[in-house]
Amino acid sequence: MPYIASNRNIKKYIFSGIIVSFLVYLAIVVTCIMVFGSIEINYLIYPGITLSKAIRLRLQVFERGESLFMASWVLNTFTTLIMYYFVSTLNLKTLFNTNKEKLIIYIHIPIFILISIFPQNVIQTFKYLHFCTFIAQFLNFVFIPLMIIIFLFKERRSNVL
Amino acid sequence: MRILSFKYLKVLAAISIVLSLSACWDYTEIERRGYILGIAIDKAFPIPKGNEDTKEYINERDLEKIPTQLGEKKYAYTVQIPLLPQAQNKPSGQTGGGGTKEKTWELTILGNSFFEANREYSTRTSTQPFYEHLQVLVISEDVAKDGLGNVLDIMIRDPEMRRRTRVFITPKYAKGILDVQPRIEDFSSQYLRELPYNASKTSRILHKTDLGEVSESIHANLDFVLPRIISTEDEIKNAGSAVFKKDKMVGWLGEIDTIYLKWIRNAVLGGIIVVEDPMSKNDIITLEIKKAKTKITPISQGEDIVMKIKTKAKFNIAEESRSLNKPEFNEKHIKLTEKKAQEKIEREMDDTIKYIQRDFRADIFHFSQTIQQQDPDLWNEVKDDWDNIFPKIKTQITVDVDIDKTGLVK
Repeated sequence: MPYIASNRNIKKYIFSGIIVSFLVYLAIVVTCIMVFGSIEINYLIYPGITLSKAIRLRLQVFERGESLFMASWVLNTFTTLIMYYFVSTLNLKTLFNTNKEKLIIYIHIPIFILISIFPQNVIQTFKYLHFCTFIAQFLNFVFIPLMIIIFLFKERRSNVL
Repeated sequence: MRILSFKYLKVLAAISIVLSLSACWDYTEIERRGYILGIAIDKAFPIPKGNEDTKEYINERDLEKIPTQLGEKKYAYTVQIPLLPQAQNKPSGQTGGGGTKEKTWELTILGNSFFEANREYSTRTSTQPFYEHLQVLVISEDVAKDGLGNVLDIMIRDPEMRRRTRVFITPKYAKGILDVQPRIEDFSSQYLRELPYNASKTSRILHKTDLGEVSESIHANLDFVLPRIISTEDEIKNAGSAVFKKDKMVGWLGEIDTIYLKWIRNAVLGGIIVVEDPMSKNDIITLEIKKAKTKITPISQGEDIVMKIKTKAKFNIAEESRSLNKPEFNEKHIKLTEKKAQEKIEREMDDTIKYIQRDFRADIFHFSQTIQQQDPDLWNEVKDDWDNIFPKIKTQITVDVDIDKTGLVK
C-alpha cells in the first residue's frame, strides 16, 4: 500500500482506527440524544458544543466544562479535516492520472477558501451541508454497492473466459 | 545557498503565522469583567428594597428607564454583580469583609428585550457584563403567567449562557430574591443555586429544573413545573412548585403535592413519608426513603385510557413516637407499617393526580410522553385532543413498600 512504511499488522491498525473513531462519534451522538431528547435536538444548530456547555458537576471543579471539551474538540476537528484533505488529494491524483502531489495540494487551498466564503449566512451553510450530505449518502449507499456488484460480475465473467 | 534561503523563508513564515494567529483575541482582565450571578425578571417597575419613596432612589429610578428602540417597556430586568472586595469567603482564607456593607450590586433596566437591557448595563457599570458564570434565573409570577417563551429565548440562544442555569419562580418581586443577604454564602445567587442539591434530603424541592429542561418541555409541547421560592431579608425558601401549561403558568402546587408529583415522575432522590402507627392510634412513624422507583404503562380499556403506575420503594424507619415507651421489634409490626405506608402513598398519589386533572388540566406527569413512547398507535389516536383527554385519564396505582432497617434501637 502507498504511504505506509511497513505492512506488518496493517489490517489490525486500520480496523482499530476505524473502531475507535466510530465509538467516539457514536458515544457523542447517543449522549446528545439522551441529554436533549429527540425533539429538542432538532432545534439546536450545534448539538455537540451545546452538550459540552451542558456539563454540570456537583463539585465546583470546573464551572466551565466546555473549555476542557474544546481543547480536545479542536484537535479532533483538525485531524478529521486533514484526513479529508488527504483523501481528496489521493482522489484527484487518480482522477487526473498524475504524480504531481504538491501541485494538487496547493491547488486545493484556494478552492477551500472559495467554498468557505461562498455561503453568506448560517442558514445557507446548512443548506449546502445538507446538499453535501445527500451526495455523500448517494455515493455511500448507491454508488459504492453498484461498483461492487459490477466488479463481482466482471470477475465472474473473467473466470468463465 | 538556495537551501539555506529556503530555510530562512520557512522560519519567517512560521513567525508570521504565530503573530497573525494570535490566541485570546477576546481576552479581558479578570477584574474588568462584571460577572453576572443572577438575573431577575419582573414586570416593569420593581420596588428597590424597602426604599420605595426615598429620595436617593429617585435618581436610580430615572436611570432604570431607557428609551427603547422599539415597543413599550414590558419587563424589568435585574442583574446581580458581585462586589468581590466585600465578599467574606476570600480565596486566601483571610477573614474580613465589611459586615454590614452590601456585597452585591443589583442593576435594573426596564425594557422589552433582554439584550437591549444587557447592552444598556454597560452605560452604568465600568465592567463589561459577562454571563458565563450565571447561576440562577428568577422569574416573577406575573411574568410567568404571560408566558416564558418571550423572556427565555435569549437565555437559550446566547452563546454565553448555559443550559444548566437554574430557573425559579417567585410569587413576589423577583428582584427581592436577589436582594437577599444570605447568612452562609456571600451572594444570594450562589446560595439559591445550592438549594436544589438538598433534594436528596426532602422531596419538597424540585431538582431538575434548568433552562435546558424548560426549553425541551416548551419545544416538545409538554407541560412542566418549576420550583417556587419565597424570601425574607436574609433567607430564601425553596419548596413547592409552579405549574405551567404550555409556556404559561397556571398555578401553584403545594409542598405535599410536590412530593407525590416527584413520586409519579420517578424523580424521588430522598425524603420522608410520615405514616400512622399501626399499633397505637395517636402515634406516628417517620419513614426515610432509601429508594423509590416508578414505572408507568398506558393501557387502553375500551374508551378509557388507564395509566398503570407501579412504584417500588424501600424505606428505613427513622423515627417512632411510641418506641421508647413500648418497643415493638417484630415482623408483624414491620408488615403492618409497610401496609400503612403503601395505602398512604397510593391515596396521596391518586389525590395529587385528581387535583391536577381537575384544577390545572396540565399534564405535568408527562403521561403524553409515556403513551408516545410505549404505545405510539394509541398516541396517534389521542394526540389531537390530548388537552380534553388528559383530565379524563384513569389511574391504577400499585405501591410496593419494603422496610429495611430500623436504626440503632429495637
